[in-house]
Amino acid sequence: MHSLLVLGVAGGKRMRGLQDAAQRHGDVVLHCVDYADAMRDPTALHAMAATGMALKIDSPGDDAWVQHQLCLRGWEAGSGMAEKPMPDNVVSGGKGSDDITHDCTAASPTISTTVLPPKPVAKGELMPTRDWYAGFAQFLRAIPQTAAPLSPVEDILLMTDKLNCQQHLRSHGVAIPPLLGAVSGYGHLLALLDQAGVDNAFIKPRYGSSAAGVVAYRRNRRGNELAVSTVHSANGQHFNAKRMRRYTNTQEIAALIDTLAADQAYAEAWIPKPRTQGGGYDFRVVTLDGEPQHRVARVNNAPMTNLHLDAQRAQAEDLLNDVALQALVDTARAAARTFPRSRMMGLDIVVRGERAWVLEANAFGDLLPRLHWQGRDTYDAQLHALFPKHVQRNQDQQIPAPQHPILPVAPSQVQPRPTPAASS
Amino acid sequence: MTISDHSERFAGKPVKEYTPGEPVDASQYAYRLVVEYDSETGMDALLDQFLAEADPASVDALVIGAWNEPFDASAQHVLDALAAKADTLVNLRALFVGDMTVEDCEISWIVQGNYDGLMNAYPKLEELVVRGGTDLDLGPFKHEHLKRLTVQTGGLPSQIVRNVAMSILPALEHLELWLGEDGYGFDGNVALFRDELFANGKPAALRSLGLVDSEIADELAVWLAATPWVAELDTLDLSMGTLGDEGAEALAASPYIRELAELKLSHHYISPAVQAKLKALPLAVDLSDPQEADEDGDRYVAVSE
Repeated sequence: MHSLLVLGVAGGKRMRGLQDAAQRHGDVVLHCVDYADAMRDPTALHAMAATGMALKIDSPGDDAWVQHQLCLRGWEAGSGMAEKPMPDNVVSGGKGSDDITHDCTAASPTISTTVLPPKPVAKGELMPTRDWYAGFAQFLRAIPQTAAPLSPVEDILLMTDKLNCQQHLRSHGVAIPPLLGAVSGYGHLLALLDQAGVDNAFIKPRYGSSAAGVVAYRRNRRGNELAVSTVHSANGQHFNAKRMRRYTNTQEIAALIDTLAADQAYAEAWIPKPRTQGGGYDFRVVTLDGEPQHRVARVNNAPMTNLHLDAQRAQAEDLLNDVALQALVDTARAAARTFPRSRMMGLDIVVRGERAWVLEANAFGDLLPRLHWQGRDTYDAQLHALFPKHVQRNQDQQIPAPQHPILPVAPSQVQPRPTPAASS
Repeated sequence: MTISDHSERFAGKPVKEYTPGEPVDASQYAYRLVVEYDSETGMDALLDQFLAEADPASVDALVIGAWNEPFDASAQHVLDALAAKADTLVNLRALFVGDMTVEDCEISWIVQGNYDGLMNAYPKLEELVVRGGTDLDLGPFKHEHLKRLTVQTGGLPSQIVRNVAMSILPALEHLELWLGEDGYGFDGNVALFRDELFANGKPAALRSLGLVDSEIADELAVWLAATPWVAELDTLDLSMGTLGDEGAEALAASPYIRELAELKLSHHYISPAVQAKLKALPLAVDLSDPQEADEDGDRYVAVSE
């Protein structure tokens, strides 16, 4: 029997998905640790991690108490950001475009912590993500490093810092939307747009997740402005709703951008998503050991296509011709290769014709219930990557053996893997 | 609300996006030309490329999607390029300019242009669809063969309605105007349609009338319900607007509406009781996509931004 230590949300969808996969695998024992328990007392978690068993750190979820604890710890740690100054702003379109570097030290957000500790946020309210990230980093870094993580802590933290992650991808030659860089406020955003010659942009929280606090911004030379966001503001509080809200009033837009920027935000060019019946679409591709596996198109009538915002799923093969499909797979692979020690990643990619851009890399991008690749869901695939089964007996073959077995790879080594098409 | 789907069919054909280098079969498809994001080439160059790869004589329907920066750059260069190709596109019968969704450009931001040159260059054009009202300079024109005219805006300026009123369009069978909201440029009222557009009653060939996406849907319905020439139409379309019980009651009680084959009212604010009266009419009534007024009692048209 193999052992896998899982840090996640007890009873949550992710944990259940992994538990179901463990049953199907039949040769794995999961040791599940709940974030809330581990935050109250990390002793058991640390002790198990110290044994060196395989470890999967999953998403801390959206439990209010856990989130508040993380925010509180981050705030106590002085927001922990002082050690990591805001990266320089660089405008570039990834591959094949000119870098326009400029000095924006004056415009960089100052590193400061709020005087008062963060208050617990109401349901749906935007939380202080900078504090949350600092707390999350502190909590994960305290876990003894295990020899066999699905993804190492530092990779998870890099992917959770969206701005740093995009810069990381770009510096390794992976195509990303032109990055305008950190935004310190509405006026600064306009300056960045002018500088880059961009009129359509996304403003994203630096430490955000799942469309929370994302703004799609657009302007034209007649002076029209438009911002579309899940953020609804009322009485000085800012809430995430499922429904998109449209802002056309400059004052309201400025207030929205200023609010997000106060907690650190960045801007990137808005690459229009290609459309099919039902809306625009982009893709989530899950890579395992560097190879793109599960993939799904997310179709939505809004600038954000996150599945929880009522987006519909569609098959990549139904939307893309061979060239575009290749661009999707190649881009996912290239992005995964920049995280050689992360065995699993979820990549958000937009494809237009022969070009593809990585919108985001997600450390916890494997929550795709009922999506199969070679007969396995994302959790099956992970367990088989961690604990390959060399013998498949006919009677317990609920899952067809993959045609192209995924070889285990030592976490420390990177090696190009044959594509399924190339191997036989 | 916004437009979120490209047209699927146009002029009786499935719409297919043109991909340079892929085989073109214009006898099977109406092709949509879209300038790719970040592209160095413009719509005029794309049109050249398309005509080099297609059999131009087989192109009878064409869809123009997003050109470069349609929120700032007018469609004029596209319209001029199309007009200049009239000798090549000898069989063009249907044209859609501005097939964009909100992802490409808000409907109220699409910058259009002047259509005189285009209409003169294609005297045999039978269908024109225009999306976007900003800087739209359409008509008045005289055109012998135009059967179908659709103007889609988030707010239709009165001048466009007056220009249509002054146009000479003897073949016109289908007229569809998206009126939109006053916040986006609609500055008309019932009188504009009753006393100007239809001052001389129904154009002889007109069979299908759409005054859609309108904030004054109730007033329009009351007027049309009392208008005898409506009985000579096949189709009346008041969909996508704010139609409620006031207009719907009038329609249900009208002796002229009863003579229609089809009444299109999807995206409406009609109560179930009044819907039942409409359903009892001896014609096809589309009451899909019912809406509810918001907490302030406000109703919204389907497309405005």
